[in-house]
Amino acid sequence: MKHSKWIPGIAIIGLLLTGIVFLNLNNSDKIYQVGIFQVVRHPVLDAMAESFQNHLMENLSGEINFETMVPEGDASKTEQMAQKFATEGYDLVFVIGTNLAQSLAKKTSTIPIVLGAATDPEAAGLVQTWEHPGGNITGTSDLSPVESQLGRLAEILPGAKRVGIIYNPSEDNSGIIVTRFKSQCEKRGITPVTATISSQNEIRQTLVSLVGKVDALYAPTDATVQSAFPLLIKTANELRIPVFNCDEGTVKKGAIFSVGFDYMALGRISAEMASMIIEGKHSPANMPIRLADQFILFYNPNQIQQLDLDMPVTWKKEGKQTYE
Amino acid sequence: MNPIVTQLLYTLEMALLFSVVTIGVFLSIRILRFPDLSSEGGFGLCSIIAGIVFIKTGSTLLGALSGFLAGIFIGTVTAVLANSARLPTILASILTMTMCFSGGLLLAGKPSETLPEGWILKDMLPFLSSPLSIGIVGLALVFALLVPVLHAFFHTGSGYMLRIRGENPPLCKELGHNLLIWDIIGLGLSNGLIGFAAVLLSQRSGYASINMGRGVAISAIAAIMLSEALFPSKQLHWSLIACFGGTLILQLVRLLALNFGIPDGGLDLVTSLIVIGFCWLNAIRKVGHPALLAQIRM
Repeated sequence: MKHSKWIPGIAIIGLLLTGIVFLNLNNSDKIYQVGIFQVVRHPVLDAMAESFQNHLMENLSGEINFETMVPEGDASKTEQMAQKFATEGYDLVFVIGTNLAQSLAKKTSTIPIVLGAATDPEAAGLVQTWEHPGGNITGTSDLSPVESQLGRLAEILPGAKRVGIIYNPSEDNSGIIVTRFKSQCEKRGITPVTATISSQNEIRQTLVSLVGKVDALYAPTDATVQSAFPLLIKTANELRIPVFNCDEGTVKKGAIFSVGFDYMALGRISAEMASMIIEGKHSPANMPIRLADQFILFYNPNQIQQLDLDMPVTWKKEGKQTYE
Repeated sequence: MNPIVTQLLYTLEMALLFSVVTIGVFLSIRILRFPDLSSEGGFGLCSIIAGIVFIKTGSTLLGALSGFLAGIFIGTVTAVLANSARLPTILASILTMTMCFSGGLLLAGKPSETLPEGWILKDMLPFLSSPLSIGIVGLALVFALLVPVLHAFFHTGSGYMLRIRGENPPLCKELGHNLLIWDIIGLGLSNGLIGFAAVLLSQRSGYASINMGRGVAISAIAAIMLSEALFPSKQLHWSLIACFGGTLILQLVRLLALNFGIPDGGLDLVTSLIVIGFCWLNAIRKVGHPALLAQIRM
């Protein structure tokens, strides 16, 4: 035979097919099958997924089988994982990452999908409107409370007229936050100054270029910025640029304050929605997209003192102090 | 439908789709002998450009065409960089790749675009209804057209010249040909195909993203290695068909690994280990077991 050399290759295909069929036959016993489809490993996202799991187990009576898949941004893996979720009879899939949800939504219109922290599901075409999703998808959004963050900035730095924002333009969510940041700045008569980085290596250089151009710097929930936060805060402190943002962890490391919410809370809210869907009490089509329900102010008194700023008297009552 | 059957059919669909990418990469690294990694960024850029054209015009065909042209342009840039500045070829392709990331961001203003409903394969096959059947039949047709067309092209004068450019550049020069022109033709064809595959995937998935191409070139190279190890062939058209075999095996390996329920994040490791295992098996088969052991002991 001309292609006898191909026999091992064809045999391997056969072997793989047998393996896949065998593994599928084995896992037939199911109680509640809940998928977790998470775009990348990231401490914040991991915490949210964990809180989702814990709260769902509390809310539902009965055993739950969780299956987590993380494609780490690879398009071909995303497709393959999405089709696995779409075809294996999952009771619900919790999706962290807008593109993943888009891919999964193309493959199923019946399996309920709960979004964890999708910034703008309507713009992404996942739901018809925020109030009335209309399909098999609903969930929570992680829009950052930019308005309240700038309000707190005005309390501690009343003279701040130019505020910088540093972000990686290749991240979807950052784009949305930047737009909101700019419009909120304009409302308050502040000049927004954008600074973009494409990798952690550029942070130092970019910060140096901001000296004298900004009175304070906003570090949004941008994965590149957040993962290099120790470097960012060290450099910013050397250059005496006050940094504020949206979560407690970074205030501990040296940001002056943050107004944010807990991603764990989003996990909890998502779990509440998911349990209602699984128990059949509500259909995703009629469940509005929900936001975090409470905001928390954290401040770092050491940092505020080091930068010779005056701490507003009300913060001691309203906020929580935190430092390392 | 039975979940196993559905999973396998979806895997077949993706294997057909990504074998177009594998063939594109095969043309650059094997025919032209040009290690071209630009598709890691180019794949995403083509999907973005095609997505913008599709949104603006509403035509899936114009979208696909613009994706193909964008690919040709990307190939041209790489070829010009490598020839004019005398850059090492791999560096030229990496420079193009990074420029593609910026280009996509500048063009779209954001990293990903949501696309309206519409798929070029669906327009071509109006008699089929489910996306999966359209995908399998349509992509099988694309593949079945691509192989004979490329086979015919590589047996024309230009096709032979392109192969000479890869295998024996001095001869190409001696025959009075400009190396740059043939690099542009070869890389243009290669990246054009990759761009077309990017359009097929983005219209299928409903979004175009600058990050779509991450891992694409590497997976394609792994698929080529697998195809050469497991489906050895001396003739071009069989090598092209083997590209599908390699891609299918890679996708099946991933599906198998997914079904194992490996800890997340471990998928790449497990896939790589299985691929390495196959290549070892093949080496043992070729060299013979004792000889390989002797090699290892040395």
